[in-house]
Amino acid sequence: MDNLAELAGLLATPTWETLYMVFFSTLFATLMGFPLGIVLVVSEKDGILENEYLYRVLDGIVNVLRSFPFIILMIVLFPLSRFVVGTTIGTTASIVPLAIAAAPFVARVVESALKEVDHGLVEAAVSMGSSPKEIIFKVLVPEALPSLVLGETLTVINIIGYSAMAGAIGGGGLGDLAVRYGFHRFQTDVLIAAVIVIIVMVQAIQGAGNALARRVSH
Amino acid sequence: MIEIKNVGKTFNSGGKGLEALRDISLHIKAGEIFGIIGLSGAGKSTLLRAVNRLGEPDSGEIILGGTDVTKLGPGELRSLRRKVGMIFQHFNLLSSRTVSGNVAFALEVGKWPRKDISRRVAEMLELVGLSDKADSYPSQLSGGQKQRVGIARALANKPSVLLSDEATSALDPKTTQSILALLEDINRKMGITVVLVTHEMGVIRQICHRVAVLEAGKVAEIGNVRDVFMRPKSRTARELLSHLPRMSYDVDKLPKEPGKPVVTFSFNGGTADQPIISRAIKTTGAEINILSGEIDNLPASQVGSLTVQLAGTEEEIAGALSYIRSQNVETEVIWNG
Repeated sequence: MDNLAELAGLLATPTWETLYMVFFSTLFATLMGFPLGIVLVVSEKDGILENEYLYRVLDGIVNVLRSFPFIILMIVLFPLSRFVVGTTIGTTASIVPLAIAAAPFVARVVESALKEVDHGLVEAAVSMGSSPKEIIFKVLVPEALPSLVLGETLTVINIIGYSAMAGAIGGGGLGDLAVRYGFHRFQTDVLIAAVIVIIVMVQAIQGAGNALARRVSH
Repeated sequence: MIEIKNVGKTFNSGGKGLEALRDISLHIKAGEIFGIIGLSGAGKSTLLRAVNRLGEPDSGEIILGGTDVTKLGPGELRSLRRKVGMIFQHFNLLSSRTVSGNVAFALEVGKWPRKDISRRVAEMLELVGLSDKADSYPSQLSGGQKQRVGIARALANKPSVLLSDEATSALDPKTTQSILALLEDINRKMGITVVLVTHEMGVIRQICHRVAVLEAGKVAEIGNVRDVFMRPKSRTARELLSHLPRMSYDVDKLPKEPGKPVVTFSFNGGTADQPIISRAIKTTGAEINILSGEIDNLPASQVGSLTVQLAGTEEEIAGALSYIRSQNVETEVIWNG
């Protein structure tokens, strides 16, 4: 490929697809994983709403989901993708397995961030007569905010990696582009360009995440 | 005010039960500053935390203002806790909120109307002398300032009781003094009952009216601070007192002259301000040479001790000692040859 403009034209759509997949997968993964992480923290032993049975069940589910290699999970979830989106092929269809694969990851990130909050703060809040809801939303989440921001950054970057894999089985995006041109047609320059775009994306997201985490920590 | 009846608590650690509190009963009067002291592991924090049920007691009753705290359901317990302030050794301030925000937290939890919160926050910061730090974050404050925020937060909901769990133990001596002075001031002005846990006798001496000494989960001794300082009965009290910078005479360095006994006089509240020594000299003719002495200021009274060398005829010396004893001063002959 000798024309730079042509290369840019080739990259535009897959870049957009990757951003689209990553954005919505992160959104849905967070919507599922965030509450799950909170429930894990409050229900664990010595948590503010201790419930051993609930904790064990959720903990087990999270572990099972995280054990699946992503590519297998994607195939296993084809029926679900078809049910939700109507098809198993394409960027929108890939959002389903991406979100489900990342949700337990988000849950663990949230769990470990909230567990880092000094127990003394929870105790002080309890001593003032706080309800569990107040403890979660006025103490645990605000106090863990810097860790949560960094955890979410980690999630986004992970999803970028997974989305490239999703591309390999018909999900579109930069991963798909790199495989089709770089691997099947030996157009190494397209492969390198796709990887560079991904690197830039990851750098930008990590940088933004670090800056935001700094801003919210006092 | 607070009636603790037969409270017991056992911790299970590694299969073995550790009895932290054994059948503790005590009464804390409204408006007093009550100290709970003991060596580490004696159960003092466990007892304090049973009052607002931060730690659940296994048995017994805790009556606070007429209600048995141990029988409250979750909702009732939360309302009770809003009326029982608590301060902590490590302050436990929210790092994500400013000084104002930390005080406001207590008010939000206490369901104050939004419009009243900022006025009350300003009032509380004024009380603890931190009005100029309202917009600072805890990480920008010194330990003493953090504890002042803790106190403002604990008092924001107008509690009738303030629980203090080793609140000065992480502070340097000078800051400790200022925090204790603040607590005493608040106790006097607002009439709030203060229950204070510490392992430092100096803290008890400075502000407590009464004190309970805990030993292995039991009350070893309880009484007015003056009495416990004058005549400590329990081993723990004696041991803790020995760490205080007491008037210390070094027996080896005392003057040892035949016929001149060395005696320590212990004065309690009623006699510390009387000219007992000069009267003893005038009425008996004995000579009294002061070697060392100290007067402690307790909240209610003064106690002091004086080590002296007596000189004169046997009769004069015996007369001086019996006069001094007749004035309710305890005497202890340290050396006589």
